[in-house]
Amino acid sequence: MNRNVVVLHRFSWVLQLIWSSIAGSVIRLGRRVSGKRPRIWHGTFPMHMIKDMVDVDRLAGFTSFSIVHHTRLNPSYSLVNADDFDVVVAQDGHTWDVLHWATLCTFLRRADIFVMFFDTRFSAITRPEKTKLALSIMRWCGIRLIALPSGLDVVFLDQRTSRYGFLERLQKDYQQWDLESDRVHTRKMIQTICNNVDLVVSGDSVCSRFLMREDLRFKYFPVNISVDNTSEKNEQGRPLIVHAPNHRNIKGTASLVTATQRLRDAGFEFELRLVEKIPPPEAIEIYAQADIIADQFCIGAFGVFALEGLALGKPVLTYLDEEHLGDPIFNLPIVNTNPENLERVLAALIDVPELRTRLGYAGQSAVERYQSPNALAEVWSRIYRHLWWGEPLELEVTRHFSPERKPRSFTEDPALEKFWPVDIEDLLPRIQAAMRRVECTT
Amino acid sequence: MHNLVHRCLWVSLVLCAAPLGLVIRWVRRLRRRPPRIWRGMNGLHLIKWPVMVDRRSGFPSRSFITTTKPGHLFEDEDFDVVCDAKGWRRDDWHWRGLIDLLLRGDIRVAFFDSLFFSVQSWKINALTLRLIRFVGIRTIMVPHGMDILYRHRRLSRYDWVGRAQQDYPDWDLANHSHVARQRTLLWCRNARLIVGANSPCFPFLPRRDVSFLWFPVDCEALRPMTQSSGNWPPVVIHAPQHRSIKGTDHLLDALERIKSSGIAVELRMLERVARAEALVRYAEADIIADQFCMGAYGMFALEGLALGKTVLTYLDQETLSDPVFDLPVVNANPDNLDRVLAVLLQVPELRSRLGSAGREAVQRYQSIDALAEVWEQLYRHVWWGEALRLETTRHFSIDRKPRSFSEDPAHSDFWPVPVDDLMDEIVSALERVRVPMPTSVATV
Repeated sequence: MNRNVVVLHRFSWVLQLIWSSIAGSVIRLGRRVSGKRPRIWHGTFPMHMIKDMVDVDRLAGFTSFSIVHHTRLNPSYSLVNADDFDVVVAQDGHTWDVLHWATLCTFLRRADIFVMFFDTRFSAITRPEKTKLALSIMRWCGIRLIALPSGLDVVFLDQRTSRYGFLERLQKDYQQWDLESDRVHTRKMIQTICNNVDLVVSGDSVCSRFLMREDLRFKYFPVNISVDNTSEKNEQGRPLIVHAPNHRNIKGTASLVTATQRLRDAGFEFELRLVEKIPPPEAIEIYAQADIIADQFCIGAFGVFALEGLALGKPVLTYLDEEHLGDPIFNLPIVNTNPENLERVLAALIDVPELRTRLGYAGQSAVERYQSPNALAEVWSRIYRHLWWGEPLELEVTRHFSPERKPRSFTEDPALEKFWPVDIEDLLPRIQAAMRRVECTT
Repeated sequence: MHNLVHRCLWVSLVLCAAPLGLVIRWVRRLRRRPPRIWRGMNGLHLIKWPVMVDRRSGFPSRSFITTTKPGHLFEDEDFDVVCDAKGWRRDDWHWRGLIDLLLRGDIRVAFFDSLFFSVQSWKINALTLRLIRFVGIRTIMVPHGMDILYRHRRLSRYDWVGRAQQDYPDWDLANHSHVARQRTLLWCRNARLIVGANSPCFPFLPRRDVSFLWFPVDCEALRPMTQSSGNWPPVVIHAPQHRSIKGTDHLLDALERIKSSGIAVELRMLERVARAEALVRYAEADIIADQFCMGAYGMFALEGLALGKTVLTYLDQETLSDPVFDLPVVNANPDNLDRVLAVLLQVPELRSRLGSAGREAVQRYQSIDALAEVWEQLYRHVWWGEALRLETTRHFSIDRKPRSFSEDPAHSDFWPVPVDDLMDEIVSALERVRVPMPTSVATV
């Protein structure tokens, strides 16, 4: 393209930016003076949890929108689609090279609080100073910024490791993405965002270790499953274990396959179903038929899949690291399962249906109380009011941060009563007998 | 009235010192002089060696503290200015410190409890920190531990904060949370750089720019004995200033079990002993038992390593996972302590290997020279804006690797030195205690 045209094109966007800044600031001031609630925007990477987060805001009484650049989250199957978002910038006739300009102008005109992921960039990853400028302009114009990690947007490979090498596993799953060579740029971008936003919510310990700043740590997204799904039952008689590894290394699928093989050798009867590359509605239908949801065994944190399993009233197996176990706000009745105790945990769950029933009931009731859209609406409402009106946070008055929640036991031994997140005193002999069956064989 | 006049006088002096200091600072900056480091005002024992680090890396460094009393950890001569020793009025110490900083400091390295005014005076403290920033002084924050501590809802594996509360019954750590959090936030907003220290500090810091154990051990002053201690039975030394937080109860229980298995051992507890004498006693040890509940090592463990001793400390997952904390400390916790001790007491060659490796590692990674490389980069970064390239320093060297997460002494990868040729001895030593390994313990 002719250089003059490029300059003219850019100049026209600068003019729009100036106009949007002035107009937006006046509107924002007017709304603030008249005591109106802030307008929330979420984006710009098309994460599947954005829709639920917008619903949470609306439930809390805020005007909330989602904006994404595109909806190509996953090339192999449709995890999200355009209907999930309010604005898809690429569909508004903008070319890829001006998406960031259009997004920025939209925020300047219409946003009061922008909740962004760390991969929301207004520049290439190698030019964090441009992102810094965009964030600074928004803050100068009175927009409050909240940064939160979606997960993979903050990871980079450095010298550190974790107990089951979560990053090394991630690298195997994403071989085209060099986590080590991206480190310098990713780190710099994280630092830029941390230094230029009003609040950083880390999500959990797994993301927290990559962030230089952490104002709040909690699972910021809700789980929202229609109750109808919970009525589905597995009719096959044998317990059905469902595992949904979009990426097998990071989820520890090999450990699950090995453990189930050993259990079969020991005479346990069950079915294992792997759910891969299936869109969410169909996947949920399969989860609803499960007797046990096997989430992941190497990362150390639970996510959307585990929450969906709990909401469906299923026992959920996930490896939880020490920081999850020690923090009451992560205390949901998930069974803390890692590659070392997986076989014994499964043996107990397969052999003792009553244990599955208790875990399922406790899980559903806990997510309803602590992780439902209503529960999260209480939290986000206080965060927005804190940022916008300067009200004290006092999150402990919300259900999610309630003092009634207590830390979990750190034990990883399923033969101990305190290992289980539900009351199993009367089931302990049967649980221990199930584990002896495995131990005798192995 | 007298107080008001007195205060006005000090405020006037501060307002004179601020612009004068600013001019001096700019002239020094224009002349490309190295920034002057200013450390104070808490008289903590972690100031003396960092000052040596600063000077070793070529920066003028000044320690300005209020008092060396109570406690017998240090002498007045260890610091440049000790207000108490100068005979100044106690009420004036903070004013004198502030003026000294404004005139003589370019970079302040501070602890989180080093505000100039009382913690209730939030506005004055905030104003002071803003003034310090405004006149061009850069602040680097380092925690010493207790300065950021409060009772958090989060628990660690052995609840070390709960144990700290038992050791300090008059200090309500839950009530203290508001003050501690607000103070830490105030510093985080005003500092140029926050150093995270180690994993027990992490939950209390909302901002961490770089994490490493920021203080050195003086390997020149502390040297291993040239001859073997020759103790029989082997001597375990434990020095708990506070017994609960160190997990002394677990050590006593473990040693009881060890003795009942017929393994000979002598425990020497050092409590309320002057530092100079304590160092002499450490040198007599075969094994230094540091702590078993917190999750990271501190000065006592470093001193043990520098003396060429086998050091036992509980290391949490965060510490094990980060190569920057990789020193050949034996990872001992309440669940494996008796088994670890049983091996170490019965396999002298293992103690000898650990002692040599420990001395070598602290010399290489945690000595004054090693830390000088790191701090030089940090100072250049905050003063001249130079890029941080910490991986070029020995302390952050890519040669260092994460530790194994195993907590089972029967596994060779549990030990931070090669033990393949000692495995038979280790296994037979473990058989003598016959304590089953809890299945809750990681064996990766």
